[in-house]
Amino acid sequence: MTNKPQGTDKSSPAPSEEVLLATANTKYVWAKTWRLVLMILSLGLLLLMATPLAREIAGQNTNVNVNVSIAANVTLALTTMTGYGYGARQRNRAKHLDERNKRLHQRVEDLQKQLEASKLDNTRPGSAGQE
Amino acid sequence: MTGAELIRFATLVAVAVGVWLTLFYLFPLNARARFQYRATVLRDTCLDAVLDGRLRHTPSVDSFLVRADAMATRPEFFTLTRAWALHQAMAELRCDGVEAPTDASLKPEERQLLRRLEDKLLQAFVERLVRGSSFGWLWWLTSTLFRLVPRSKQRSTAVSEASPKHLAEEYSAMSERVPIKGHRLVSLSQ
Repeated sequence: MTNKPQGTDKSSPAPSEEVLLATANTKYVWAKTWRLVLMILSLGLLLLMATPLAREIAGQNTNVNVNVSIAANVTLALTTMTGYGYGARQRNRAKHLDERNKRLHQRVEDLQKQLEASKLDNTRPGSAGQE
Repeated sequence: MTGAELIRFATLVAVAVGVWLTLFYLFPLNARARFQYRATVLRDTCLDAVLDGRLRHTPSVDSFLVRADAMATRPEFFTLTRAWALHQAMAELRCDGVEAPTDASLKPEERQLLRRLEDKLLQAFVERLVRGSSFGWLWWLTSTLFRLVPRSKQRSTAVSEASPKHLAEEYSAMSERVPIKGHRLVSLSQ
């Protein structure tokens, strides 16, 4: 399948677009349902793995206890880092938008000044007489 | 169950939930924030170029601005699931997508600038598709493996063409055709 239309009219009739979006909608609902099922199953699998492991270790096997402790710390660190990363992205975007607003504001002010200057030039008697 | 067992069990459950939360929620959230930031910067760069006179208002420039603005303001609409759903629908209906507006009316330097911006936007969207969900990694791996397999041995060419880049191009073109805030594409999210 290519991205270019093959002999189709550029202004394709509305019904075909409607049909495409309706089909996409059906597929999307289907994909979303399966995604949810897989996500729940994955959590269930993780919890199922945790239960026998917890029974097995029960404070007797030191190596496994250490591994569990490391896994908990790594998970916590990873979650914190990801959360921090998300915050940093949002801050960057807010900063960018703020700087841009300032620049646009400055641009508008400059244009207003130019407009006022040109109006003043036009209203001067000398310039009016020249015209 | 003794107290020690209970503590170990609680720790393991916490680890499992933490991993799950990071994989299915935090990583995609992070990727979305990054994508939104990049789309915002690219949209503003293009808009600045238009205001400075480095780019003229042509259909191809307008098309870029519409897409970048949609990605910057509504990044939640640009997901792997939606792109995949649209790809499947297009494959089922044998629809070939939409033709991108031509940039022939632009000067060489304008064309170069627009293409650079287009490439960066597409790259940001592809990254969003791959890193935006845990299934994205799997999808990318599968499509890469399919590309490595010789064509004659493949069952269907449709599978090999469904790379994240191809999905991104298809969905991006469609988002421009049907405005993101319009009724019809919004209905795709419900």
